[in-house]
Amino acid sequence: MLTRLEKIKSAVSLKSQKDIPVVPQITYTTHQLTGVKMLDALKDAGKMAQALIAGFEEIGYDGIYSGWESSFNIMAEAMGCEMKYPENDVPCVSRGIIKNSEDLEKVKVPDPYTSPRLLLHLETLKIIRKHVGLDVPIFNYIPGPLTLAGLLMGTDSLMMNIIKKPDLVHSTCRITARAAMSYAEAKLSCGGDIMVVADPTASCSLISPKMFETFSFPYLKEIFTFISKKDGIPSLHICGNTTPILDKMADTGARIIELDHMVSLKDAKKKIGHRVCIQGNVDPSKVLLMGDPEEVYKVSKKCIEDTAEGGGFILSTGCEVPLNTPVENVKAMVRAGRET
Amino acid sequence: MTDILNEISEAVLSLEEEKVRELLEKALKNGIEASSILSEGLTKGLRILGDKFSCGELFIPHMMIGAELVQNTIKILEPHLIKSKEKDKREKVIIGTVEGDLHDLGKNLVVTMLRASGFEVIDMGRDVPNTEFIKKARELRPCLLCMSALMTTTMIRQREVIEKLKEEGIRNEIKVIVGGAPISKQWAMEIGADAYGEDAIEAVSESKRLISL
Repeated sequence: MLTRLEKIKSAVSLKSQKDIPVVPQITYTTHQLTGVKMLDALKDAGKMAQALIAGFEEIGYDGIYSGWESSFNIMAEAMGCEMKYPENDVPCVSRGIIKNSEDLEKVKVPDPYTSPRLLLHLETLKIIRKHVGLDVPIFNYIPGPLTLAGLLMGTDSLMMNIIKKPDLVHSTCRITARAAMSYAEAKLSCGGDIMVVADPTASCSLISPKMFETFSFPYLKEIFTFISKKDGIPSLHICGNTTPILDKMADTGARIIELDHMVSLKDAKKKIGHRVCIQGNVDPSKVLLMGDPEEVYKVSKKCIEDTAEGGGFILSTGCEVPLNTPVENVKAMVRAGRET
Repeated sequence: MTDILNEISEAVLSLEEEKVRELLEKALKNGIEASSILSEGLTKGLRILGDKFSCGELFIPHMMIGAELVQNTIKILEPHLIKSKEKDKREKVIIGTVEGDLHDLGKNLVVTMLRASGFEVIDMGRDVPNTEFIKKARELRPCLLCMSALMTTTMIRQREVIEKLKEEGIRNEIKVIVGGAPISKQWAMEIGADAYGEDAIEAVSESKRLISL
């Protein structure tokens, strides 16, 4: 009987699998299981860890996403962006700080061990690791360089700067890539296994494949080379439509590629399944949030049918599990993975 | 005449703002009706841009620069437009991103494209409380309310606003269209919206369809 960590490592090594590992991308939604308030969890590593562990123990999936949400927001804050803190939702950036090249000098790569919000996430990771032991794989969101650059500039400015001020985009991404590597290193030291670089701004829902190649690919490659050197497992998460860039995504050196619901797992398996592990892709909104357990089970089974043959598959959601998702729905996903 | 207007739409498509400015001035000097310059020049260019975006040939950066270009250059036509079409006769549209949500990229594209199509668009910005939408709807009696939500946590506000419109007894006076990444046609139907836009282009074409009903 494989441990959970062995199941994941087996999937990453593209070995044939009997048991399909199931790792839904569930983070802040776990607060609803423990009654821990959103804003409280954001200030208290103990409470954040309590919620994340509760989710894992109640639902029984095969890996824990440590952290309250995709990390680009906390990193943007650590780098000086103005934030908004809703009562019942994750914080977000309200104003960017980079308009031109002079502004770059103001931006520093934060030290994760002293920057409060980043440190809190490191402490949460340590608590989780201590509680679950070494056999449970812990997934860690790392801010994607292009997405983080977008938060620093304002995403609409980034979109236009891609054409109008490409040098500024590159200069900003050089900094954000360093921030990602610094954070990944800290997360690895604190017990994290899989480093998931989340870069939604890099999808073809927003930019062209050529723009991806120019402004995203080189920085992702640099980050993954770094993570691999430090013995971490590199994973790439780009939600949205990534069908045109699957090969390029695999070229970055990521060993797991997380795919969103609109990408055909069958086609992805054919294209890149021989060289990377594929993770995904139950629709978090339409199916997991709005559907019932039966539908979730059916959709999950289809994902397995399309992708698990020959190994190299982790059943997951296409993106983060939304607030108010019924627990029974997430349990149905886990059942689908077990009952093969 | 059509040569200049074609040149204008070509220049919009190739994102050449200076060229568009020059051509607009030239067209006005040549006595072409401002509303024709707008529809056959600027709006047409933006529409072609939108079509190319819809079929995956162009992407958000192109759309945004194009939208910004039109927003900047339409000012040259505006003084002449008000003369040719009474301001009051323009259809009113209120649009905003719902409370708790700070995404507005797509919403801003819709604003520009609807304005370029001749609508009077009241852009309420982002993070708009439900009560503000209702207040504006009562005050301005627009023909259309557009709501954008980009997170699964904020999309619920779209439902809430529609419920509130019903409670206030004004639901039947105003058409509602919703959009945003986690939004689907299914969601739009479930919450009682009149239409759904998968992207800015569809949002605009659906808005026009609703207004003409």
